[in-house]
Amino acid sequence: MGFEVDNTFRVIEASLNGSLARQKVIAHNVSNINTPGFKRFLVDFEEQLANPQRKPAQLPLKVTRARHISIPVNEDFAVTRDLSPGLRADGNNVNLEQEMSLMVKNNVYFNAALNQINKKIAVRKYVLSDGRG
Amino acid sequence: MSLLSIMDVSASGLNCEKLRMELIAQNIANIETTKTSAGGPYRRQVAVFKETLRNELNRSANPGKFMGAGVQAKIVTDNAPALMVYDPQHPDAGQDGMVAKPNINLANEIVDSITASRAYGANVTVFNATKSMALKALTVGRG
Repeated sequence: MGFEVDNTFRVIEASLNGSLARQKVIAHNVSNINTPGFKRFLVDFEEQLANPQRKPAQLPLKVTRARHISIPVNEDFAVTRDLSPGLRADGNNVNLEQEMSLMVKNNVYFNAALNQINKKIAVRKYVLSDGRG
Repeated sequence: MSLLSIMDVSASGLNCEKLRMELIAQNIANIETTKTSAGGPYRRQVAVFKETLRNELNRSANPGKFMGAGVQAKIVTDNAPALMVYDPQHPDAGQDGMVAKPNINLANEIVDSITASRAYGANVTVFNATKSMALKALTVGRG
C-alpha cells in the first residue's frame, strides 16, 4: 500500500483547481460590471468532475532529467459564456448579487476542500507517529 | 492559474473604477469652466471600459480556454455640444449674451459616482475573498 491509498488527494486537488477557476471567472465578471455589452462567464466544474468521460488536460511540467517526475498541473475546466440579454440597458448581464453569492459559496467550498486535505494529512501524520502524535 | 493572478483581475477593476471616479471629480470640479487651453468650455471626460483578454493573438489556438484578465479603461472626451446659458454679465458671454458652459449634467455625474463607488466596493470584496482563500491555502499540512 502506497502513500496514496485512495484518490482523495487527486480529487480534492481537482476540485480546488475548479474552485480557483470559478474564483477567477467571478473576479473577471465583477471587474467588468460596468463594461457595456459584457456577457458573464461561468464555470460548472462540479459537472465536469462528475463526468466519467472527462479527460483532464495534461499539461506536463517540463522535465530536464529522465528521472524527474512530471506532474500534471492546471486542469483546465471549460468556461462557458452566458449570452442571455440581461436586464440592463447597456447589454451587460452581470448580476452583482448573483456573483457575490456564487463567490461566498465558492469560498466555503474551497475552505471545505482544504480542510479535507488537512484532515487527510493529519491522519497520515498520526499513523506515521505510531499513534502517539 | 494562481490566486495571485486572480487578485490582479480584481485590481484591474479597482483601477478602472478609480479612474472613473477621478474623471467624475474632474468633471464636477470643472462644471463652470468656460475657458480651457484648447479654447472653448471644458468638455466632459468619460471612462470607457473594455474587457481585457489575455493573449488575444493565441486565442484561436485554444478556443475553449478562459482568457479573461479583468478590465481596461480609456479616457474619452464627450463630444456633446456645450450648454448655452444666457448670462450677459459673464466675461465670456458672446454678442448675444450666451455663454458656452461645459456639457456636464451634475445629476449624471452623481449617479455615475455612486455606481463607481459600488463597483469599487464589489471588487474589494472579491479581492478580500481571494486573499482569504490564499491565506487558507497556506495552512495545508498544518492540521
